[in-house]
Amino acid sequence: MHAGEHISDQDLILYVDAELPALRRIAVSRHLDACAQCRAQHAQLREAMTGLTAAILSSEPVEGGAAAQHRLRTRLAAAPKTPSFQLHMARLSAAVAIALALIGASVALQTRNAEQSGLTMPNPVLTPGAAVPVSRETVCSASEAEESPKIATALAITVFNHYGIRNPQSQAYEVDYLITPSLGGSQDVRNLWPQPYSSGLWNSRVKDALEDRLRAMVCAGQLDLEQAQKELASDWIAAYKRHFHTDEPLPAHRSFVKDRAWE
Amino acid sequence: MPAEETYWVSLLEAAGIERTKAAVSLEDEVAQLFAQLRTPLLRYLFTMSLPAQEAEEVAQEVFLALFRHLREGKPRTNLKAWVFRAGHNLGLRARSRMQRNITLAGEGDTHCDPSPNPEAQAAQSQRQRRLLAVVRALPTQDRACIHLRAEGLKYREIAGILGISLGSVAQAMERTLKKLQRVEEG
Repeated sequence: MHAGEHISDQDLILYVDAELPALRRIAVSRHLDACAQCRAQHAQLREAMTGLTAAILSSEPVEGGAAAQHRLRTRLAAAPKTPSFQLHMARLSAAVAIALALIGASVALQTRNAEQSGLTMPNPVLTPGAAVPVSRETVCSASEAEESPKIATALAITVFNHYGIRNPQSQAYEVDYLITPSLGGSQDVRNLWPQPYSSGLWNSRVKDALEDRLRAMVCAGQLDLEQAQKELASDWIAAYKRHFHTDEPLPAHRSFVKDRAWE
Repeated sequence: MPAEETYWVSLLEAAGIERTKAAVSLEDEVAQLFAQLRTPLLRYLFTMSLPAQEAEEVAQEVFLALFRHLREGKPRTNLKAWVFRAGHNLGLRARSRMQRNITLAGEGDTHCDPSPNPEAQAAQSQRQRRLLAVVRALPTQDRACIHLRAEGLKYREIAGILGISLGSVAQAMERTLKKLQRVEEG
């Protein structure tokens, strides 16, 4: 609004209805103080608006307020008092979603921790151990130096995926058989887990040493093949401690290298 | 009830914890709002060419919906505008249902007198009747704007109820007042 310009009807209406922004309201107010013409128009508009409101509000609606009130009361009393079932379900599923997200986050955290600290023990759910039906004779007729069959890259990646390890560093892991093939362990995701080479006291080299010892015992008739498989699958570290009569890996075993790293 | 409390109450309700005492007072609250807003809402519904009986029915539906709205812990800011918005939407639906029925029955006249109380009309001054005649002749949206304004709603609330812009509300007010001024002058 420039000096000398009159206020538009729309602004005057907004002014009467207190709908103008503060700065604009002040400007209109100042102009009205100074301009008789706008003051007259403002008065007329205000009068019309007041009269209109009074006229609209003067038309009383039909009778029956008490009856309508009574009817509403009856209907309210019949209405369910708790939120609808759908709303319940919506809230419940929201709660479940949050719970799942939390579980997911904690699993992710655990996986990360496992990645950092080293998976000395496989996840028993992901890797319960699996063996092919094989006799003691077959196991022992194979040459001792024979390497475990190389794991196909696709299978290795499946294993890494199961453990939530993305972009595994070359040479960092051995995708290890829980039950070694030299004792009938099968090439099966249920029998494989990514074991870090370097990290941790109980690394893959230590386990390789245990596997050699167990095979020797099986072939010497000191241990059942099935028992040897079970010892590897349930808790290989406990088995190592038992068979080598030690609480820590023997120094000779810590640098024991047999199986190839995953590349 | 503050928003935070409503939130916790709805959490409790979601957990299946009963709130019978509060629910009774919710009924009271809705009934109280009905007592306050029934007349303004009916007045507005009459402008939508709804006959008295239909308008009463819509008003009942609006407050039952309000009860459900509050029961489910939804926002309780500006319930008056909420009531008018629900009334506007349910009123439109009732009217189109009615018009469909009338068409099916083969009756041509859908016009209803928006001022159904002759006694109240008699109490109005000459000038008020003249003003109301102008209002009745307004386009639907302009008439809705001026009615909602008379019921004390802000332009922003009116825009929300009718689903139009703030500028459209201001323009409707201006158009109506210019017509009124012409009538008063002439």
